[in-house]
Amino acid sequence: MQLQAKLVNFGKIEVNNHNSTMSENTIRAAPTKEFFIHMLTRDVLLSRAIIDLVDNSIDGAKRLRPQGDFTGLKVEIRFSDTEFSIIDNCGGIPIQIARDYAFRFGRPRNAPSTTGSVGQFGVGMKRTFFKLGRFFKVESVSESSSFEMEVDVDEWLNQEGETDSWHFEFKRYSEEPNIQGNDIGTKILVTRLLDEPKQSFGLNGFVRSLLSGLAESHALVLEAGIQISVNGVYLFHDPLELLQSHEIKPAYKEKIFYPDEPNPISVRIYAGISQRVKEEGGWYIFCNGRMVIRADQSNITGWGEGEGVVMPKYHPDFAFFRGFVFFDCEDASKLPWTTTKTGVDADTWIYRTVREEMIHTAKPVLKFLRELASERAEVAAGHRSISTLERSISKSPQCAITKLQQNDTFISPKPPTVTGPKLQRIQYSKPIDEIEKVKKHLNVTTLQDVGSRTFDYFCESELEE
Amino acid sequence: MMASFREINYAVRPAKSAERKIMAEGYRRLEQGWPLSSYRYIGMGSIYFSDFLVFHQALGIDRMVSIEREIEHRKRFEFNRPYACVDIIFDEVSNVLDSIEWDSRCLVWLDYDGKLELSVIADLRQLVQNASSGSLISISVNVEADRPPSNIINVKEQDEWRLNEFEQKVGENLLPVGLSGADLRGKLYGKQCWEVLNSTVIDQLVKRNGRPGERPDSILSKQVFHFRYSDGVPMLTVGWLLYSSADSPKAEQCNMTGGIFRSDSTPFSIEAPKLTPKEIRHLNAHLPSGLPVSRATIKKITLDTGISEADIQKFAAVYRHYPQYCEVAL
Repeated sequence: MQLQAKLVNFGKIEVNNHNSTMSENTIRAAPTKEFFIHMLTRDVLLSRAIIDLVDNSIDGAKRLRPQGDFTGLKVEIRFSDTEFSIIDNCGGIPIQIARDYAFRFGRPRNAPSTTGSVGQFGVGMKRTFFKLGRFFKVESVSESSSFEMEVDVDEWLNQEGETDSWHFEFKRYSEEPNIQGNDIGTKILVTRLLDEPKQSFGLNGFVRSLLSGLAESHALVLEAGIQISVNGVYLFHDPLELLQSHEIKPAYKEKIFYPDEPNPISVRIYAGISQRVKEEGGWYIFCNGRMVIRADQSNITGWGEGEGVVMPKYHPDFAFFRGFVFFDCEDASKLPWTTTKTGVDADTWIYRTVREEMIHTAKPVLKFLRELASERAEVAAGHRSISTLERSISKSPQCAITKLQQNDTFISPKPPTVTGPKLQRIQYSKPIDEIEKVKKHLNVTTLQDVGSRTFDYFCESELEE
Repeated sequence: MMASFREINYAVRPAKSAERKIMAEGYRRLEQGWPLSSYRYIGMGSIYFSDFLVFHQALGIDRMVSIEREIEHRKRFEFNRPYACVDIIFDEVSNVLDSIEWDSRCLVWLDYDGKLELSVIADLRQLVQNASSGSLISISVNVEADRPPSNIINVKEQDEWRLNEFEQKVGENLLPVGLSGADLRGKLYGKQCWEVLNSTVIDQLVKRNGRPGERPDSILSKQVFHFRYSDGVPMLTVGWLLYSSADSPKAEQCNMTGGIFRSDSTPFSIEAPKLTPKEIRHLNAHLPSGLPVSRATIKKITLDTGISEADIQKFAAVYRHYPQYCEVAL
């Protein structure tokens, strides 16, 4: 009820404004604060919203350590049924960024970019605050400045004014350089939690999904040495690996789109095989190190393309398949990710183009896996004593993708060559008493003989040479 | 499936034979833009290798790949290899296209016996995705309309059946917008196949080129071949020259227009009337005369021989390429 009252109230202000400042032929298009608070927060899961906050810390780490070694950097997330906090030592938010960009809704076109940043749409941090609670406090110390701000969301909503006058206020700030490196970082506190986060924070399943979401999304920065913890539990990550041996070698391709232009986009594609896990098979896509697609088995990454002719639909036989795609660009807005960073924007030209390359890179792997499946089936049916392809998989160790040899195409052993005409199995069921009659008539004892003799009979009597 | 080389002797299909020679003539124009010796030919030679013979003899191309799926008959194929420069690769077309290195210019002719279907479209996509600037890629398919089963008598239901059948073959995405079953009857069928093939090329080039806007390395396509012919079953061949924007002037120099070339939906029809050797010699003596053959010449020939005007026009369009057969003891 309180909310509705406010909306009406806000509407009144707009009407007044309309009368005073706008001409008769102007149509209003300015957004309202409610729009940002209520609509934006619906598009994102709570765990994703918290991962977005960690993105800000990672961006700080990237500014602080452009070389990419994050050893010693930490992000600590804590929450209870009364408050949420995230504390990092990742370099802090410079005051100019805070003043002009970090708290704006949407990223202005002229905003300075953090090299290879993961935050780019200018919605993440604010969206998370609004999703969590009604009061937030940000304290940040960077090398060149420090600031503190507090926002009471309800009060802010009640401030009147058009969008160009929307603002927050610093409680305190300083533009003195900070020499003690230890304190450099950001502390965020959210209180007056909303019901939804309050409830979720008490659920074991939520904590678990947040941990796994963070570990996946930030697998690469974890690999670079950063430590991330949730309520004191440190994240572990599985390194990205593929099988490699002298017989099996993953494919690796890299391409830089428009190297002569500012902010070229670099794309790296790996495709190969790993352990057979049905849920893990598929494509993994990263944008500036952030995993945006995990184990995808859908047409988004090419599965089932051309009604399954260009690339087959995902199938348990392909559970060995792993593909990793890395998009990197200094200008994060050129990357093909969605605003929630939980998917790719399949309509972007860069993704469309790379997707073709992904299909092309995957095909030889899938061909090998099909040959493997048919060998395994033959072994299971007793037509073959051993699968040579399976043996070469078991002899191939896991290798971190950063240490792989770089082959343009997937290399795998060939199945033993077939001699004579190609064979195909036929299987069918018939009533037992009829089978017995045929058996007796043919004077044979096995079902296999029944099948092949009746087939031969048909060929001899019905088919022309 | 019966190996098709055992069913058809490719060398004695007269329209096909003419088509090969016409294509060789088309390929020769490429010399204006790119040296023919820089090309590699990729085809499906079967055991007759008729296309390989023509293109090696007429164009001097000496890097040739024949794709062959019938690995069980490997020995026969290798025995019939016409020249040492022909490399026979035994595998499915799509696997071969996957493994080929695409850095050099290619003349590719995927000459299928069967109808247009998803695997054909997938192969064409692979070609368009990979072929380098200056390549000419062609594809031939059987365009005999699907015949509704005899228990469907109602015309409307027959049309529904046709549409459904076509959709199953080519997939929903490439189906021409607004297509109805009536558009797939009889001779109209080939036109729709042509539409689908063209959409495939356009669609794939968008994917290949990526960022919108033309840049020097953007690949463009120009349809150059569009043949219809029949040695019993109606066939369609479409060929496209692929070239980079930077190579546009070269593509222009090749001047692949007029004559045997077709850039639109109207095909060049390779069709020869049944004529006796004596009639052929007589007609040849009046050719070339430009097309269409002048009224006066027609009148004269008809008066002498009794051959109809339509047959004379058809013959005049292909007379240089049309084969004549006679029996010889080898």
